Amino acid sequence: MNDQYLTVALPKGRLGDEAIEKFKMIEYGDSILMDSRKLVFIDDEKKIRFMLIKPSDVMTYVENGVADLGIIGSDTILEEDKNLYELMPLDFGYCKFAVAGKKGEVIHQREDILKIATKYPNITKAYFKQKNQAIEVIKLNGSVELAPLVGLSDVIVDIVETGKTLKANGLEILEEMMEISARLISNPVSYRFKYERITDLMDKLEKVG
Amino acid sequence: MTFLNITDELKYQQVKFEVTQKLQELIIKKGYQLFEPSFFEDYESFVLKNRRVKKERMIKLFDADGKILVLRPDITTSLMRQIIPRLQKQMVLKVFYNSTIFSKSSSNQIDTIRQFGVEYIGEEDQKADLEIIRLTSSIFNLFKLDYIIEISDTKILESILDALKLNDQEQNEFKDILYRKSLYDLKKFIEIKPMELKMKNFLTQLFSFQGNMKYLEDKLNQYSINGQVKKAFDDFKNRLDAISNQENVMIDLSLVSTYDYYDGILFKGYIKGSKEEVLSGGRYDPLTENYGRRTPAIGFTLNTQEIIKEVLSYE
Repeated sequence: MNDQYLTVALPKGRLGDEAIEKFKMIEYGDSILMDSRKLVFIDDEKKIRFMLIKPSDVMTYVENGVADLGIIGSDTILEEDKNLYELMPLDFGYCKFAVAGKKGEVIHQREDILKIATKYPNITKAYFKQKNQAIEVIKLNGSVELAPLVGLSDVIVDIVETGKTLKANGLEILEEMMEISARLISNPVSYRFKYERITDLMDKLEKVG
Repeated sequence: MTFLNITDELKYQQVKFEVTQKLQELIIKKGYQLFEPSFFEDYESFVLKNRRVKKERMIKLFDADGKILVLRPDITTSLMRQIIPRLQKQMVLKVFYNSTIFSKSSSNQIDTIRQFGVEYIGEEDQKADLEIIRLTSSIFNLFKLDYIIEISDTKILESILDALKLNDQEQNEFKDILYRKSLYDLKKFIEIKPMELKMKNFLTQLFSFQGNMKYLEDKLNQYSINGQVKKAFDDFKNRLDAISNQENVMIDLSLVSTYDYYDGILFKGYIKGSKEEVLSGGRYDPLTENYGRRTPAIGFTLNTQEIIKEVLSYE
């Protein structure tokens, strides 16, 4: 954990791009070059450092103190149980969690076990725990929409943005679960030692909305 | 810690020994006595009374008569069991321990974890609270560590929960939100739960009630909070007045503990270079009731492993 500098872990991809836009809006992102293949950007004047990380690794970097702050979707936070602070919501990365499947598929009070394919087994289990429906979770890493089409599962639990992917595969939203958006996260030690800098950054981010 | 190199391992053992010795010397000088906990606890009575350890993580064995025992999973509770029933009225005990506890690891192995702790039993006056907090500072200073101690008082949070009239589930939900410092969930919670406007305004800002006592007092005065919460804060302020504006001490009104038996001041210690808090403690009078008469008790546990790691990294 570098003393003077605030280190921010950004997720590669669309979420990271939107985060960079926000940082540029508050004039903290000057060092970030959009078309570069570099993974680290350092601003010696503002004493801030950005790292571009695989989204599923952002929490690991923050948890280990290598990054003081991280930007990640609330879906990842919900799925993994880590000792991290979820400091504030960021006004981007909006999507929702939903149960999806073929039109008319029943997902409650079935007599048999509902088979659900998903990248998020923990969130799925927690959701259905309160619903009184016995489920079997099949963890997949991608192309989840395929599962009900080939008979691997009855339905899926996944993140839905526009719904186009679902539609293109003949599926539809059966039940909306919860909203997801980007969050700013930190670890307890960085938060405590860099409290002023972090809250200052949070204030600036809040002002631009 | 494991080492590939024998020289590194011996170096570690040496530093570990020196750190432990220095620490013990300091504690003894402050008037604390070493307490050696018993190795085994009776499984059934331990599970019945204990609120600190999950029973699935305890290492169980049978004694010669077939009774189930556990290898000591936690020293504070062991200490409670051995001391509280024999404590006479007005007796004050200052003890410390530096021992191992046993727990089942995630890979089903037996984990041996070092636990160092200090307990000040029998004194309810603020002098015990002050002494304990000062002791934590002394320990960090002893090893020249960059540290911050976070403090709060459970009574402040309790008064807020009272004013909100939350049921058990809502209370747990609220505490979880504070534990994760999740502003988004806090705002959602406030939106859903009906409450007075002035309470809404105060709660929305809860995470920014961090700083020294003067700052907090001024900030609190800007919000017309209810009398009970104000009183809890004033009591807290009076109790810790002597150390409230000390450098390295940060009051955080949103600080919560995973344990429900803390009643009074609550604190955590952080050092640079560590992943999480290295010290955690508070006043836990309610826990003593499980073992006998309710006794004033305040103490903390310290992760000496992290201290050793830091000292090693200097050398």
